[in-house]
Amino acid sequence: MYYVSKTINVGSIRIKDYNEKYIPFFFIGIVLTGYFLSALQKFSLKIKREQIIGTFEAVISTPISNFSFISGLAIWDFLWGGIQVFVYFLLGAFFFNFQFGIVHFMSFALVLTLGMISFISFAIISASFSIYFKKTDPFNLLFAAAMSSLSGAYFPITLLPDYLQRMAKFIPLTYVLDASRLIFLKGYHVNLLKNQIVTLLAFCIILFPFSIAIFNLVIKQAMRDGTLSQY
Amino acid sequence: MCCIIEIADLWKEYPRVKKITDVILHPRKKDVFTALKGVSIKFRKSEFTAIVGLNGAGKSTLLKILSGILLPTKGRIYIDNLELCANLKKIKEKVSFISSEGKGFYWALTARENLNFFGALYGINRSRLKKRIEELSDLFAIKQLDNQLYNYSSGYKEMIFIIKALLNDSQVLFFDEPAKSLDYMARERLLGFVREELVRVRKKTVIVGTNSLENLEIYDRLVILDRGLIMAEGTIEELKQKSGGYNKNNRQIFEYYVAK
Repeated sequence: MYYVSKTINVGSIRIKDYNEKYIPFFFIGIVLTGYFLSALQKFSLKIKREQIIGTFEAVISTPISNFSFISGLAIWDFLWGGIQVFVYFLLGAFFFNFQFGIVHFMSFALVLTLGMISFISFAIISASFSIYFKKTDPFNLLFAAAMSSLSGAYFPITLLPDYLQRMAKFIPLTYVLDASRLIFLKGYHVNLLKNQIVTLLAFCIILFPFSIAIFNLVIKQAMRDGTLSQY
Repeated sequence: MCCIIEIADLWKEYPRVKKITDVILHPRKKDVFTALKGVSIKFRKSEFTAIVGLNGAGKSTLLKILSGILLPTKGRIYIDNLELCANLKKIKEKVSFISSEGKGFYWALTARENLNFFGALYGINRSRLKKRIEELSDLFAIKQLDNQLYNYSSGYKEMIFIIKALLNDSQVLFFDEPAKSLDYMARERLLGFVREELVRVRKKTVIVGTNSLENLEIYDRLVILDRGLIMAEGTIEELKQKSGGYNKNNRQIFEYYVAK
């Protein structure tokens, strides 16, 4: 963190957007990136375990819809992680003087919820890969690499070359981080974050139904191939 | 007695895993294993039927297709006048599947937690589920449901698996190799209980997939399945008569039909 902070000129235009304070900037980045990636990984391991012990097949044999099953499986890790994020941010309010009024809390809750739905979609797509190919999916690795380096977790994306900045616009975490920093470091609330919120909403509307459709297709194929409980 | 399950020309193929060289050199070549080959059969309501066959005969495949866990490759299946593939959700509400050795349970959870979880998946509300679990545990004389599942003896575990299958009051129960880990006396007691309590009193339709040739007289009807084909069906007496000898034992009857 120290060496990265030294490569970023704190007084420069790049960090100026976030009140010129690198440590709180980095703190928000690391907490949120860690939360999303850890929840993704836990979900992936959970699916693998369910396949191995046979409960995946047992649950599919009940009348529960695929949507309820996979969403229910994903939501717990993200919700529990979300509670931990709030605790970290309360600490951040104490140590880094985060803006933490009720308006900021509600705005952050909205941003985090939209981010959660986008990431649950990625988690479902990743699980579909694992179910179909019976191997640990590479998506988690790809997401982790892309998100850590491109979404502005450790440094502002304005430091990246233009083509990478354009790629960063396709990662939901970029908007979650941007909105969270603006809320806690500059006191923004929902009315001033319309761009970020609308973009996150668009990610949710496109990604979530798509991920459920992929999961339904994969389950149907696994039922044809007889491979629901294979890993 | 009317039919609750009707199967017409059922085929099931499983794709074989292809080698990399085959994938490159013969990408369009389909390599499949046919588990069921044109199976046509009817199962009557409130009947205790056994599908008897050796390992790899297709018993588990047939039971899993009827339970909605697998999709058939070809064929028509009706369960309680509902076409299987078009009404999977409704059919899953009417049937229950118990796999061999209780796969599909969370062993670190207690029996009660497992039953609560699966009961919730069937959409049974909490108060009704609690009553149902109490009622079924009384019926099976299981007083303690709050131990972790792996702490129970094999016999108790089998009872708990059956309780799980009965939670939603399914009309049809599919047992895949039940009581495999029990000794012959315990197995006989369990199957006797299933026949008397579930089939005779509660009028359930129970279909058992088994490779055991012991005590086949307990079943109302037998279906002999071999390499995906139905070789014979009927009561044990009918099968003895057709095989030409009332003094034949179960193994000799089975080998007679399988050798055909």
